[in-house]
Amino acid sequence: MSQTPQVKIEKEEKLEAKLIKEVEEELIEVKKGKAFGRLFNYILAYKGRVIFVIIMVFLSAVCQALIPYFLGLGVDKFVELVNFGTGGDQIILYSIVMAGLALGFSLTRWIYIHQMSIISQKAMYSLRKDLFNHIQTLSLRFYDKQPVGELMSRVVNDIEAINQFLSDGIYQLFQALFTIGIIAAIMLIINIWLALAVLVTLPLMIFMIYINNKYARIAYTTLQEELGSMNGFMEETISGSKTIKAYQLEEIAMERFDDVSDKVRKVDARANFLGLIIFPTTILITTIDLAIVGMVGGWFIAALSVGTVVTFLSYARQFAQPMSQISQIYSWLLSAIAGASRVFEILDAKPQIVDKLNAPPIEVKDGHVEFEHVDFSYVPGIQILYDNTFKALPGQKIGLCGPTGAGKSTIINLLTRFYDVQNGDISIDDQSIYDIKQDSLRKSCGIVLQVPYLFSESIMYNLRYGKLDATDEECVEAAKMAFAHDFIMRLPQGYDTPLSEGGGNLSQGQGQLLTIARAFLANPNILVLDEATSSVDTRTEKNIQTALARLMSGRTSFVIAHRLSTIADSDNILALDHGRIVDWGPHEKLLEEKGFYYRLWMSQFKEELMKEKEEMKKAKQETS
Amino acid sequence: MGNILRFLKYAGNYKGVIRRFFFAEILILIWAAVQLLIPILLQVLIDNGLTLGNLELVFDVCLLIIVLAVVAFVASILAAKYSANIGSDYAHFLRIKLYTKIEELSFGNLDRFQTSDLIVRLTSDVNNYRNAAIQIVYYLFRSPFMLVGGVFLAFAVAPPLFPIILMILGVTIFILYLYIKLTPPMYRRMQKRLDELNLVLQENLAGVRVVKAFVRNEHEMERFDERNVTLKEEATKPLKLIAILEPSLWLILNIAISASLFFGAWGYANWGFDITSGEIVSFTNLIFAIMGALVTLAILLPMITKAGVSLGRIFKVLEDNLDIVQKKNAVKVPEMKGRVVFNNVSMSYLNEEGIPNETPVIKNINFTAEPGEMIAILGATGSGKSTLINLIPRFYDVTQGKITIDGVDVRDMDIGDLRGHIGIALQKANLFSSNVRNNIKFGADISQEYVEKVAEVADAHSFITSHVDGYDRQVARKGVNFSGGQRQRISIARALARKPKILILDDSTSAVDVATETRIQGALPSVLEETTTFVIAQRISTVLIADKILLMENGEIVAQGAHRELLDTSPLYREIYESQLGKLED
Repeated sequence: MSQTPQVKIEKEEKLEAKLIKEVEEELIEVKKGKAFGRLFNYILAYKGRVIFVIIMVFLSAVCQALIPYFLGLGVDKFVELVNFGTGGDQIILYSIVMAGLALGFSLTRWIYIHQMSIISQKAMYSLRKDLFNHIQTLSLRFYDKQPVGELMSRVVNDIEAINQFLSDGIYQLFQALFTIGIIAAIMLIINIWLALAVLVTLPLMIFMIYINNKYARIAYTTLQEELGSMNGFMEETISGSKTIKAYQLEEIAMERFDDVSDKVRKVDARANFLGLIIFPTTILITTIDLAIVGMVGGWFIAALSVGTVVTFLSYARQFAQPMSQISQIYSWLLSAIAGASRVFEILDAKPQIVDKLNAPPIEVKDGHVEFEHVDFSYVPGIQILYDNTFKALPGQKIGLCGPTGAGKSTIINLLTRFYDVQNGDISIDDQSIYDIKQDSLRKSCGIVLQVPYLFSESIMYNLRYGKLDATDEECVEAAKMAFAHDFIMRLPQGYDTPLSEGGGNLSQGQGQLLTIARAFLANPNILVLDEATSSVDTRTEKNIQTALARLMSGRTSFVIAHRLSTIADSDNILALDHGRIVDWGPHEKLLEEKGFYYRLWMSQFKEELMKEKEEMKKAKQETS
Repeated sequence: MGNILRFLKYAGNYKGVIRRFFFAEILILIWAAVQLLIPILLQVLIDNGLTLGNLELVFDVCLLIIVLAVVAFVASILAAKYSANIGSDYAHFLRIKLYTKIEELSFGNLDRFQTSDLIVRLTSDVNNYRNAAIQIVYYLFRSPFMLVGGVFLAFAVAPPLFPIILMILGVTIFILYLYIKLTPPMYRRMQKRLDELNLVLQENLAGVRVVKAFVRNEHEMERFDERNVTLKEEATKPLKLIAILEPSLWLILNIAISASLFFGAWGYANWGFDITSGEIVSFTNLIFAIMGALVTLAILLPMITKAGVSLGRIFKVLEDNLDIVQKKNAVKVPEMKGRVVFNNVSMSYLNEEGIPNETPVIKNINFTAEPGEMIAILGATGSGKSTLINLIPRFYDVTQGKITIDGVDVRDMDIGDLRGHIGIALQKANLFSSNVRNNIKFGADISQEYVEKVAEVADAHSFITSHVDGYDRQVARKGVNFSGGQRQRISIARALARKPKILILDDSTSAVDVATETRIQGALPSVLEETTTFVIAQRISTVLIADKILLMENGEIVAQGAHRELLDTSPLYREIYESQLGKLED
């Protein structure tokens, strides 16, 4: 039932920005070839090791290819031994050589797989690091276009696909290529006819793998599509399950699910079938190859030894396996490249809000905030703010109000430079916020959001987020100021109590108190409050209001109000309608003017109630 | 393993699966038998054909090999078809069973299983079982057959070399045992680290405004890097282990081949072994078959364990006891007036064992709603408002007391009839991917005019018709192409569409502004003839016109009455009123 915090944030924050989704993505597609090259650069950072790995793979393949050769020599000597009683010593020598080669093969293989594990995981580490660090620099516009869930699953799945290819794909690819090459070379050196006998099935093998790949890819793509629509259907009907039950539409849902699930079943069976038959196909071709080698060997037996045929029988067996391996690696490669190109898209996204060259940090003396002729739109063509001009004097409280979508949150997003204005200027103590370092701007603006955002760490950690070098005493002091100390002490581990994801083990009100304490620690010059909509119990509500009042005192504050009563005491109220400032001034003055704010105030009260209130006032005056 | 047997019993002979399994196994045994026969044929080829120069025999044997290979191939392809189909059929079967069960679950059951949990069961758990089922059908019988047959044939072909087979079996099983024993915990640790890393990423993305507002980018990078380093270390460990285990298997195989040659020759020369070169080659080929079978089994076993765990999780849903079950002789309710009486009602949620929690969510609730009255319920989050109204359509059952509608206990009613008379707009407005019209009708049999009428009342008609497609406009998955307020208005229209005798609005105007809310409230009476209405609201302005207001705190009704009454009698009501609408007197 409970929504996760990011869903709430999305829901609330996107009201104004909801149109953005419909605009095309700003991510620029990265070409597959480029993505592959850039992915490879992560591996090539360890050039020395990579060359070492390749050498090891080569040696390993040589050892492996020589074993059947010595087996063949051994068999010949064995025939000699049987027929003439000689050659026993050579057999011993050959088998020792074979054992040596076996050891060499396994040793080199161990070394290169080991090395490759280290390289691939280091590369994965760097890739993850680059990605995360880059995301930190991106502006909010980027996040508006990529819902967190989508971004998450994209990053997680894509990174996994890349990991698969890097840790298993690369060395197996070299292994397969070297094995094929070296075996082919040795075969051609020993006997061209038998070599051709082994190689004759090669085109058949390539053809069958190609055909299989082609159909398998179609099947998998269709499967992905069907799975996508089935998962979408499940996601929708299970999360909306209560609604379905309330309206007794279970039967219809089940019928439709039967349909989508059956579609998945059909294409799933096909995809799995195509996946399964690669192995028997390899076996078929290997076995046919054995027979062909046997026949050709028989045909030329006068010029050949039995041992040579035995060697080639082994090669025929070893040849098909790397071929089918390559087809597996190819499919890994495809998904790795697809993943990489999406990851690089993110890495290529340019932060839209950047500091000017050599911008100085802001110097806030008393917190004089000025908006001058500010125009703004999230999406070109759909203007949100029109010509907004107003001033907040040091220490003043400014209440922002207006209907949903009027632009209240936008003003705050502009002040903290989460977005840049299209026209006009915003300045703090006569310094334009576009001429100073954005980090310093945000450090001097404290923001308390309507949905408390907490990390799944201890309470202390979450408090300290406001000031990293705060001492424990400072944190406790801030918690006391925010009325959070008492409930924290009642928790089993006090300040060390770990919070569950999204602060789920605290009530909404407690979460708000924590974020207020965090703002106390940050001690900003200017304060921005996005007032909470959800109701909490009356005592917590009172605590929150008092704590906020304490926090605001002496700081220039902007409060977005959802209930007008909380901003009635503001120095100035700014009423917005469709992005224009329609009313400006203190509460009493605006009520007298009977303008837009008056109507908002009245609609909240309902006229009859106002009358009632007037009457009660009158009655009160009369009695006193 | 237990869960798999349990499943086979549960699925029974679904779609003739037993017969198909039987066929598949016969085909697979043919395939395996041919593969075992090839080394024997090679021996004949070498000893009787090539060594003796008997060309005719060489050709006959080779032709036989080709014919057998093709026969085996056909058998294996058919078996693959059977295996893939059985796997996908089972998956479909499980999905349908699970989904049907989910549709039968009561709200209480649903609260205990999260949506994401249920979806994981329907997707990855079903998938784990499907994969295992395919592999079991295709390989589980083939590998033991190849193993036993290979060992037997190896003994038959070259009895003096048999100790080599014993050595291979011993060492290989030991290495594979290490693999099965050591890698799963390593992968689990790695997965744990990966989850931790992803949590940092997830929180960073979701809390981007906080991170930016406090300028904590550097700090976040450090936090991520710490976990990234640990993940790198944990991820390398299993890879390094496999890097040593896999080559050791190759080492055994190759050493065994050289040993075959060595002992074959040595034994022939010194111990009088009766052995030919063809037998040695055949023997080495059988070693391949034996090793291959062992490795396949080692890969299969963890897969089966995983499938068993997944099945266990699936059964947990399938066998969950329903909290709410219709009585056998339930009363049919063709007509309803809508007089709702709560008689000393208390309710506790059930825990996982189906036993009520000790602390009730609502306690001793008593009130009566007369037909056509509007009842508003006011109170802080967690005070029990939603719980109270959820009892009326019997989404949950009371723990004590009873709720009657027109004098009949809701627990005695036919659930379908009961809910059929109730229109409800839940807190979270769910839209479904269809068009707007269907989302409003939602099963109700009403005309387009009536759809428009209820949309009008819910203040949805104007924004619906402002789009070119109007009522035919497609609703995207979960209604993401509509704003929160629009979704709520459509869901109110939906509740009205079924001409309910009882209407429940569960905080269903929280995302629309006050003016719109007022409009909706004003229009409601035009479609509600004699409908008892329950409204849950956070804003006091919403509840002013109600016939009766129930003020709730900590699960109890602390005051009830009309607005003017409560202003005088309840200090708490007055306090809430003033905190929201300002002081009554200055």
